[in-house]
Amino acid sequence: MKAGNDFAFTCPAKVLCGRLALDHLPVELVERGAKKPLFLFDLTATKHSLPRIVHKALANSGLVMGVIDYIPERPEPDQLRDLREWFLKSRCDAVIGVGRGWVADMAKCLARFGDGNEARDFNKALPPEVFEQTLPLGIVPPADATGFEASSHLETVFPESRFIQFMPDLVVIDPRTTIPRTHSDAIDAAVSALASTVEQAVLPQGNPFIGIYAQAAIHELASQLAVTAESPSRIAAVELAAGIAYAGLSLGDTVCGPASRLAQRLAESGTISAANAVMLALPVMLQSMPVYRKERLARLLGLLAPLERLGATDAADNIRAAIGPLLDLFNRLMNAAPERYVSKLEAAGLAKTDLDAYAKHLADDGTDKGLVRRALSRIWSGTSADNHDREVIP
Amino acid sequence: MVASAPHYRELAPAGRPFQKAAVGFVLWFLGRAVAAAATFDPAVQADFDQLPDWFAFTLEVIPNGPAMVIEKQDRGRVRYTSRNPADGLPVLRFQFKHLAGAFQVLTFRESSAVANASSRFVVDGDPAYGCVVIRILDRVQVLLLPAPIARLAVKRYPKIPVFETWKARLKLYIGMLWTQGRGQ
Repeated sequence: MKAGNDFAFTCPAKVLCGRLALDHLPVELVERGAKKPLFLFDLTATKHSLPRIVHKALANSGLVMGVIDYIPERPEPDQLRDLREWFLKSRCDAVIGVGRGWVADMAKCLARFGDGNEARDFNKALPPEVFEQTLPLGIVPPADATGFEASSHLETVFPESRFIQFMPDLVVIDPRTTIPRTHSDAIDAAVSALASTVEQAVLPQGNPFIGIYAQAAIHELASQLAVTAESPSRIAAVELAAGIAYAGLSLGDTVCGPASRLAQRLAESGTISAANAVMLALPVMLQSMPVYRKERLARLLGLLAPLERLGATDAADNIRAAIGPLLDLFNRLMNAAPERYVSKLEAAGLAKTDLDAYAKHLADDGTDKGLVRRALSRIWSGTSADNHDREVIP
Repeated sequence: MVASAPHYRELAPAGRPFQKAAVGFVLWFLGRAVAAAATFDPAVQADFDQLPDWFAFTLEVIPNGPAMVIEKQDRGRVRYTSRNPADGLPVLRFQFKHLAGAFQVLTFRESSAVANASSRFVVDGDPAYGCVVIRILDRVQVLLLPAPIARLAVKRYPKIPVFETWKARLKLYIGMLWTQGRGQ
């Protein structure tokens, strides 16, 4: 699968991918009985003129668009009430979320139970039986997508739970909306996607379809990430975007994985980006938790460095040999790019030398986790380097 | 002043007049060419012979875009119209899902094979007749267009002597002047 390929795939959400994927949207909506779709745009999407792009893509479709744009990253409760009121008054019969976070979650909530008679509290978990009347739901992931948008999770409300009812009917991956605007955005998103996908690929509760997407994503991201970091180009960014999109499609149980849960808590501390947090948390979890399929991880990460060439046959050797290149890649990213990686890590109390030592430590001896724990403890607590006894596994 | 708070508004569907006109023109041009080619080209005639009499096929953009309708009547007569096929005719419909996709294909930036693989259009009708119609359209495009453009439009460019091609092309353009269709 390459970025230039246009395809449609149903699994069970229908994924429309390619250059004119947005233009396909009206046909799919009409097939599902929609005449007046409501489009939700977050602040970033609005600033990047996505309402205009979507409106242009729907030209000649005969569909009137309901639009709510400028939705902030963290809407106030009264704004959420307004959104629902507007939705009910507009009498729209389909919901399309263009954006991430709250916008994607709001689209899912409105499509699945926004048309009900009683108001729902979006901050409380809901049992599946409340999903009585549903409307067609479409999601258009943006450039900074995390993959949650196309999943059955509500990222901002209860990310650790899945409701199959929240799985969108349509996912539209169009270069007009998914190509990152800046080089560093592309790398950020790709690092996060790579780590999440590796975790997804090695979690025992995966399925064959997700596995295919995960492998495609890892292959695409691993081959393009270093190239993009060292010589940014639009073509590389497009390939990265494709890898990120596949990673999003493979997000099934990733957020249920311990590494992502830990990363989420690390990122919430505000001192480190989610991408870095997942990259740091994943190897720790791999070392300490038996839940992961380590042999499978070794095979997947073998894409980064052919294990056959290393002559490693034992599974443990394979893992050590495989994690090393992953960390090397991360270090190369830190060297080649974005100063903000270094500054953020330093702000979190973790210097590049720590990572180097960490990589060396993993290569030398994968059994002692003291250094890893200390490093993570410093991030966890913000400043305290002595707080190394703190349990890092949630 | 730039709005900074969420608000609701409704947008009527925009138009793409240039694309619509361009697609309409190409369909008109192609439709007349098909009708003209059916009067003299043996390959096109042979393909039309495989279609039943009183049969129509359309090339159209949904939901309300331009359309080309070709009707095969009795005794091998072929007529072009840009309106709906006559009542009661069995119809094979090639429907482009959107104007942008039709514009890509009909401006020869994407071949019909690639467009099909990219899910740009749907075929409503007997697929066996669909293959025949594709062969007819390919043949007409080869005769109608200069070779470099026609190569973009068809999957495989046939080997035809240059003299034969130009002779057929001349006949086709002259024939298009005299082609008449219902509703023209």
